[in-house]
Amino acid sequence: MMTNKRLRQFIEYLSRQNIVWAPQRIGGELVMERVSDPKNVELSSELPLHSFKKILVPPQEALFNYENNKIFPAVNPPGQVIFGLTVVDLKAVTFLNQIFAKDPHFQNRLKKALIIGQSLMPKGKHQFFLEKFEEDVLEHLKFDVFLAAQKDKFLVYTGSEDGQRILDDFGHKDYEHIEYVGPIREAGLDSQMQKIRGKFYEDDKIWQDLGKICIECGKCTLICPCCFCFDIFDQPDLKAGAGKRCRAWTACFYTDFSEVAGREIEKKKPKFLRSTPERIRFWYEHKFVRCPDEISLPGCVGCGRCTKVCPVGIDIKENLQRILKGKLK
Amino acid sequence: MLNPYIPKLARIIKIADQTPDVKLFTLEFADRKDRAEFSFTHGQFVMAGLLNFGEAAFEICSSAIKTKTFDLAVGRIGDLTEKLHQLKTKAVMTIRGPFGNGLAEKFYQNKELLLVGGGRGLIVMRSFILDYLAGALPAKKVNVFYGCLDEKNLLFKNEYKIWRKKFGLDICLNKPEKSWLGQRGVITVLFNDKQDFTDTVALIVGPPVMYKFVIEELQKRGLKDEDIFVSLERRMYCGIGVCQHCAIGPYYVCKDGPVFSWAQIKGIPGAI
Repeated sequence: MMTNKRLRQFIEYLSRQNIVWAPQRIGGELVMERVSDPKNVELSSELPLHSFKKILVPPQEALFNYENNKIFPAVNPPGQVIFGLTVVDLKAVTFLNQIFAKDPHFQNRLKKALIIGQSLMPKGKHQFFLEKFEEDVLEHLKFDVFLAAQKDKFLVYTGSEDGQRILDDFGHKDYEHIEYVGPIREAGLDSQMQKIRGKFYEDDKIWQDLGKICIECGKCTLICPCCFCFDIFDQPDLKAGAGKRCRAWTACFYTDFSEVAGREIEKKKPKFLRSTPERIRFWYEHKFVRCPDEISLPGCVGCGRCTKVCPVGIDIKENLQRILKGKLK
Repeated sequence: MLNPYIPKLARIIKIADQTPDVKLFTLEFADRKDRAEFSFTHGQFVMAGLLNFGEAAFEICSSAIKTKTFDLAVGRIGDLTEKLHQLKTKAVMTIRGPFGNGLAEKFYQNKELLLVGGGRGLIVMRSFILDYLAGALPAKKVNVFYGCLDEKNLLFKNEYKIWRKKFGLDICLNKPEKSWLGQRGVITVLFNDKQDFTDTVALIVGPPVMYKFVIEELQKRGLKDEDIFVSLERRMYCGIGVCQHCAIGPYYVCKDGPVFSWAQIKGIPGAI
């Protein structure tokens, strides 16, 4: 057990030696930001609008540096603490860990990060999939320390040696260790997800309908804790012959996403995703077809952030229900 | 953990003009170990680049059995290729790969292999052709159908004489000069009813518009969808099925392709 007071001390302890990211209210909105004053950290059931994504998958990062035709490894990321992740966001961390299983940049960053989760369940109107916290979900989540909220204190779990070490160093001995057994429950892909996968291509009209209202701003992809697609490009340095090869977030809604080199037709470069319906279908297809096929997990944790930020009111929950209805009779 | 984004360095040892805007680059890995380890299947591609200018996908167009050096034919059609065309020999390029699935030998072993190339689609065919000439391709016979815009855009022109000693090369030009004596029109004019396609496996590579029509011609002549292969082009960055740019339906062109059987992808919206 950890009391509220002791928890505050723990946050202060972490902040003393580390970069700590935690939910804080800035301009009225709860966001994941760097902690300058531990008193501002807010532990609640509300999902921060911005997730942890920018910390583990930076908007832009160097893959390597180069100078005079020599290649040098990119500089190692610093260790940092990501505090207060809800189960919903821990699911997204776990998802990304599968996607980037063989990516040394992500793995290095995750290994050096201390992930601290908590059990308060988001109850916003846009959320779906998860109803209430159950302890048996923990063995399927990537975390170092997890705080399960009781009435006025917390049960403490560890999910890694790093988690145990930091608690030991802090002087908190009362915790239970949970061994990570992988991201998927024995039953495999969730049954509702299987249904969505099975019916995905039945009603093509949904994409035509969504294509009429989507303005392709890409906000949903930026805010989504599971969206990770990227471009790779070179960024030359001022010094001749030097620079870095980088990767950076992109969005499948941007028209250059599928562009290829070639003769322009009506002043447009050739591309393979040619219309809004094709591009919005591509987004859903990634989350509910490709991800389940590849790693038996959907590319969606049901956080509802995309619905919240969509300027034209596209609601992912409604769309999944429509896909589940299947073929229009 | 192996970093899949770190390229190997390769030196350009020869540059040959092919057409007004295609050059053939012969490359050699700078590192002896890289040279020894390099091997690929016909139809695979590399991510080739130039530091400061980024990378793009290029199919390897040289022999898969003689891999001390390898060839890339580069059309001048974008920012990177524009820059590549300015390079001289000894310049250093970055190479990652080979990636994806080419056309494995098991699919055409002891069968006839029909290579249908439109425009720059002929580029990747050259790796099959060179190894067939060397007696190292397990196909019973090779035939090449090649559709091109005009005579000055014909690729690998200086090699046709040798090619024709060993196999059939049928060419048609879309907009030829008056002096052209060969076939005229789009690539499907090369199909006629005298051709026997029993026991044939076809590989089609060309501009997207071409696939549907060539597939129909092949189907009419009895080819099964499992024996019709296509190689697809897409925008690519990672080459290993992560970045999402080249996805088609449930597949990645970089990882599951670029060569697919028609049976595999015919139901996917937007695949061709």
